[in-house]
Amino acid sequence: MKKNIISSFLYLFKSNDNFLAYNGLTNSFMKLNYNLFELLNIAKEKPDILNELDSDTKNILKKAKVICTQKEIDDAINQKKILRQLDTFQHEYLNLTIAPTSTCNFSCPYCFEHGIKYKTMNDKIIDALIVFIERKSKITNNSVSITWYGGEPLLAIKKIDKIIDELNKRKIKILYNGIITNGYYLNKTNQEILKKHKIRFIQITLDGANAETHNKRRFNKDGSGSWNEILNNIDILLSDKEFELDNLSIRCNIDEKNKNEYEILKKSLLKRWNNDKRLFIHPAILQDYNKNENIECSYISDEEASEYLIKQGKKEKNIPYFSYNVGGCSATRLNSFLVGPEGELYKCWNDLGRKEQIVGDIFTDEIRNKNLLFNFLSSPTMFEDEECLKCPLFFVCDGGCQLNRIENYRKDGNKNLCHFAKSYIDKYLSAYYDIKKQENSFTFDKIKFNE
Amino acid sequence: MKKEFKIEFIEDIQEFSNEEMGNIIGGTSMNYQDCSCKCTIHFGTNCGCNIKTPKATYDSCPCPKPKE
Repeated sequence: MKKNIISSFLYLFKSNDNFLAYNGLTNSFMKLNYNLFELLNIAKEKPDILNELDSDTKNILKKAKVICTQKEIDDAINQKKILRQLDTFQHEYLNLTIAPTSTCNFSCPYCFEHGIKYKTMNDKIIDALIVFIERKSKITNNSVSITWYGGEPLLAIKKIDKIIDELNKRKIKILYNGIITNGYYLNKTNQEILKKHKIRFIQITLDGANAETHNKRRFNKDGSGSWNEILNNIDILLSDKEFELDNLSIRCNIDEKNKNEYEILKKSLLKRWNNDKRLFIHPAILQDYNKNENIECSYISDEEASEYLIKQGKKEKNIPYFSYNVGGCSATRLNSFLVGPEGELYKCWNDLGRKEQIVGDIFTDEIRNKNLLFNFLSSPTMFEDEECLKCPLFFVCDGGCQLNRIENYRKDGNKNLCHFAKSYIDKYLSAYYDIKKQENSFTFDKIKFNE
Repeated sequence: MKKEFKIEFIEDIQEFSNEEMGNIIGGTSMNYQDCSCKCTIHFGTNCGCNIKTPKATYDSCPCPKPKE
């Protein structure tokens, strides 16, 4: 018989007068009484104390895998690992992020594409791209998913129009069609082209609650602002009932200087657009890709970011519970690429324009940078990371940015890979508990456990 | 006196869905076309890369929902 131990993913904490326990192994969250809380704390080091438990309590804890065996832990890790591998090596879907141009009309101080050369796809590249998609989609049932990206992709709207027309002629189905744009050129003319091609997802960034803040960060190359133009374009977009848009994602990049404006921005936009259900307004923590060379941004630390997001979630009464996460992004999937304007292929969206990060091209099937490609697809991963393997959030974490993981691995770096709630699991779950408590009345008489 | 132990589940135990596990047999995987909560968009939710927002729920996920 295998020895019973306490789950290494059990996180015990006290919140106000409540004794709470989160078990990452089954993603379960429990309220305990003091006796059980104390016993489990001791049992981590001295599992023999579990003999003091009555059989009913012991059975419940076993079912929740608070009490488990090492084999059960190993099995759960293996399960996540195989799901991740399937995600990595699936070939039912061809996912392409296409940058028809790396040119941009904006000069945002924090841009991670800072310093790259501006290029735009010519007809020869477009022809080769169509042949590439045609060839690759043979194993994906003649289908492809596309996210248009740049630079500013709307500066190359005619290229987008041509590429989609050519794919349609060849009866290649576009399963997903989305665009990341700064919104400045999302005028009626360009909206008509996107509508014709059934663009379902649009992401636009607004960096403040008003023109003054936003225009300091998201301005044109000539220094002129963009706030009015973007908002007017969105007014037109959302009033077009024939545009079959699933989602308009409004991203607000947060740093020390504008972090208090996000809430105001969200409220005013929801009011302006009458709580349109297609809107998804969300904060994003700015990352310092340019080593803080600019004065307009004042980056906040990972810990401050976590605190900010939890605080924001509490205000909005929106603290989503953790859910299992296998992880994976275009960088970690074999059948996903970022296509650059010269037909070069990258794995990570952050790498556009960086020659050393090119893994191949659309003209041949040759791998240009074998080691980089293998690092993206395989080791290093969270499954070999000792810190990850003992983290309570292991099963709900995606393992962090693979590009950062590779840099840590290759260059002895120290970039944060952790789930945003890692440093504040107690605060996050306490906030979640408080919200749930308002919705339900928890009592020990009403045990919610399904036998 | 015998100690009393009490436990109450705020969130019950969770398992990977049958859909996810069943796909292992066929050697296929879930993809964001199948499940809108598994956002793969770089600027999407909780991708751990360039943005760290609380993970979206199914309804608030920015990914397009699977079409009938």
